[in-house]
Amino acid sequence: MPPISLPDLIAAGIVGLVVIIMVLVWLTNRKTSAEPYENVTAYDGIEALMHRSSEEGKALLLGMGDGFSGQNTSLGDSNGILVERIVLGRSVFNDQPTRIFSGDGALACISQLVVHGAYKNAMASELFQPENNQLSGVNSFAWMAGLLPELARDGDTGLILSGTLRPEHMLAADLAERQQLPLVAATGSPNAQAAFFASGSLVTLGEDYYLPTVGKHNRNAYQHQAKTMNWLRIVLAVVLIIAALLKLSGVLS
Amino acid sequence: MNNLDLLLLLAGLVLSLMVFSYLLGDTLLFGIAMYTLVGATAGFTVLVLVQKVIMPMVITPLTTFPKSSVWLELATLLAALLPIFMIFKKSSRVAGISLGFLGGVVTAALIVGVSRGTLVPQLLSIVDAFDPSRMTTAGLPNWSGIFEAFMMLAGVLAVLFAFHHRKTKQKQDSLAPSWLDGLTGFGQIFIGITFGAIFVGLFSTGLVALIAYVQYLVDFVRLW
Amino acid sequence: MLAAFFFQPYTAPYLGLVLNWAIIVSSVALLVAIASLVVIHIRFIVKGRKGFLYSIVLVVAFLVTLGLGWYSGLDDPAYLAGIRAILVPLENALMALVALVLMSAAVKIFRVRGWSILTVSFGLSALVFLFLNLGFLRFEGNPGMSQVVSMIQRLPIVGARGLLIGVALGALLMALRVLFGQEVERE
Repeated sequence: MPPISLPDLIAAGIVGLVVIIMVLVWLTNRKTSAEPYENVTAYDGIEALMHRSSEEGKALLLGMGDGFSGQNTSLGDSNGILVERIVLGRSVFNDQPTRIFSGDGALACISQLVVHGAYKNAMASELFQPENNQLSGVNSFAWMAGLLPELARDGDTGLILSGTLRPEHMLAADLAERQQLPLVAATGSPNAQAAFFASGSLVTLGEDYYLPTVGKHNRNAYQHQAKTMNWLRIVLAVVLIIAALLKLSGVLS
Repeated sequence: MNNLDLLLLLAGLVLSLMVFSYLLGDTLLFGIAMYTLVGATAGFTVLVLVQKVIMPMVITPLTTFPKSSVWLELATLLAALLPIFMIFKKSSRVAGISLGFLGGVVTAALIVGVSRGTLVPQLLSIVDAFDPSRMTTAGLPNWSGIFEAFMMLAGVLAVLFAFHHRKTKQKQDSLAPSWLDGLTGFGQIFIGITFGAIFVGLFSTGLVALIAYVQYLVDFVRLW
Repeated sequence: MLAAFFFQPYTAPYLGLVLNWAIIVSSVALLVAIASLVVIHIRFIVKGRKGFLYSIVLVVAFLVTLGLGWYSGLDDPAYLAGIRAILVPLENALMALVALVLMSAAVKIFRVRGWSILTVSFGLSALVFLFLNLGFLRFEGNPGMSQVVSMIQRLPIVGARGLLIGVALGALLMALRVLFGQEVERE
């Protein structure tokens, strides 16, 4: 049987390290901190959109991207579902229901369960309408193609894009601007971040995408995650510097 | 070229011109083109899934039933049947089981993908740049190699620390720029450079598509 | 699953089986979602919802593509050529539209985002790489300058590497929290 390769062992070591730091942070921070970490600006934008939606009585559009099951571009990107849970948890009783558009079959099905769960938790299952949560296309272009005409309709208050996005989804940002709809784009793809950065929308940069928190909602989970990321960064920096020095001195082959 | 080909070419041309009606602020023609794209890709995907996944992976093994394991066939069939419950009940817990299973698998694949496929190669390439053999050429110091190795290490660390989370109060108190502010600024320079280069790459790709489209129009006019 | 992925030399046969099930589940989920999409649009047509013309277009395009493919077979060259003749120009036109949108966004960036380290380095980098890509900055007779240019061309790798490592760490942490059921606060 072939032996396990060195990169596989290093990868397993990294995962182990992340788990250890996660557990340590969780054990040392079980109470809510009086001094919270600053929220990610783009996610604060979602809170503003949610307020606006409930004040104006207009619908919020939520685009979930096309990544989850790996049939398109990306695998396992469940961050959009978390954002959906947060948004839905607070917009169930809005005059107009939040409309959700997915670009992946499994994502659309899970999203359906999440939305139904949000209505059920609010004891308002009768308000649940499946047509407000649909697959809008089966690949990246088709997902955007299904979203754009919906965006062009009147009566919406803003657009949140959260999930696996691609640079061509900039068209949605452009149409939102034409419709004078504020847009928040949350994505982990550096290519999409670069494209959306050039637009006027609020966009998550780098790893910020993986820290969803809206106002005080999900704040504890965010605080833990932010602290874990800080420690991971420090440990990684130290390891990198030591490894570089060892390599330079010829100790590491 | 036969009449059918010409008709298809014309249909493609008309639909793509409808896409460009977006620039004039039109939503009707643009919407028609978009929904054609959605409908056609959905129809094609159904065919591909049925003929390339469902038939060979679920239906065909059932026809060789006695030769294969009963439990294996049943598990495969169950995997295929459970999500169908979503059609009848949108909140189906039964469908939730299979989707939960899928979620577990893709999350595990993501963990392996990012650790084995992204983190390890990126970290190793930073460390490998410090290989003594790359830092010298014919016994003399290779200054560009040395500079690049240290620049890479410093730049990567600066970009990482540009996202260091700070407490709200900590940020309000720090009037004088701290070492972290300096590092953040340094990191932002690299982020900006990377985003600028990516942006130009994306723009070039779009431009190539635009040129290809103009060529498509020219070809069509010539053919006509 | 996680252990199976890392220790593939020992777990390959089981891993393949589980991945096959995952492919089946995701394919069936996609079929269910497509069925749901078509049903919703048929409902829109029946109800005469505002913009139901779009729904007609979607349902017709879906049925025609599906029907023709079913009749002629998925591997029929004429069918595939037909699909290509419709989808490729549409996607190319969208991509071309993206180029125009990106251009207009780039022009407005300083007005929209203001002047900061990030925007200035973004703008300068975009200009430099635009010139480099167009081949305006060539120093074939000057090895020193050529080396500087090639070093500039490698500069984005630094930021990209930092971003990728950060994003990968974030994704890893999020995925582990999902596995442990800690991804979001319980209300």
